[in-house]
Amino acid sequence: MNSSGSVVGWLTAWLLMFMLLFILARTRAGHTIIYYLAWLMVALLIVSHGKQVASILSGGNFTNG
Amino acid sequence: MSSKRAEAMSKMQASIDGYSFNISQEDLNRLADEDVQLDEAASMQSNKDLVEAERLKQAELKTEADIERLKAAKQKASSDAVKAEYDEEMKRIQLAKQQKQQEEKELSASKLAGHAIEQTRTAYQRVQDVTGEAWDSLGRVSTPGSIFLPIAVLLILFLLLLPVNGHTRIEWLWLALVGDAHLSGEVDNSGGVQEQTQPPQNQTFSFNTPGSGFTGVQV
Repeated sequence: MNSSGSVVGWLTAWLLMFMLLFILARTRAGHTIIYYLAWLMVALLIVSHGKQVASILSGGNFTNG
Repeated sequence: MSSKRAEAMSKMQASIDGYSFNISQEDLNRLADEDVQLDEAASMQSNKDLVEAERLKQAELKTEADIERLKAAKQKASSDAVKAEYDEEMKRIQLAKQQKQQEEKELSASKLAGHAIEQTRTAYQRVQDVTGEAWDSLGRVSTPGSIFLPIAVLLILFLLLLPVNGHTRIEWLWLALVGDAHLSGEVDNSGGVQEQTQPPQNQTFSFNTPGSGFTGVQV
């Protein structure tokens, strides 16, 4: 019961977020907001996974053999 | 002055609209006439208000003068009946004056209410205009590369950084391409269940496995 409730809540939250994004995307100012929010997400992702990013940039390669 | 103003306004409008055009003398004259009419209408309205205020003041002065006249006449009168008549007349005039004052109060209250409503409407309109301007100026901010550039970068970072079942999606892709991708619980040919996913032999990855705290995984 608890898990189904949390899944419903999770789905509802995501749906609401997408609805908001859809409404924003219909306006010119909304485009700007979404654009800079997306860059903010990129920055947050890079900051939170700093070590992985550093290792990829410093010597990340696939070798076989 | 009005025609110059009209010309300046139209030039500004043309530059806002992004094109230029020449105003004919006829249009200039028409705009000047419209300005004059607007000014006249505004001055007429203020004149009307002044006239109305003056009329009310004169009516009040006349009422007071009538009362004074009746008081003087009553003092001069000798007969009680005449005095009583003058009293009646004064009472009637004072009652009419009180009624007029009451009406004036109500009218001024409704005027005040109307004025307050008008001010509220104007303030609301101003807030709407300012908000609209702010929203429009936000829309004019540049977005180089359009909205798809940061979304594409996000998707690439999701593939590179976020692990699923021990490897990132890029790692899984590589493993799948070289044929060494194994999932836990996979049944081998002998019927047994294989061990938990291990990196394939002789494979070197220079990525961090998230949470592992060390650089590189070597088997």
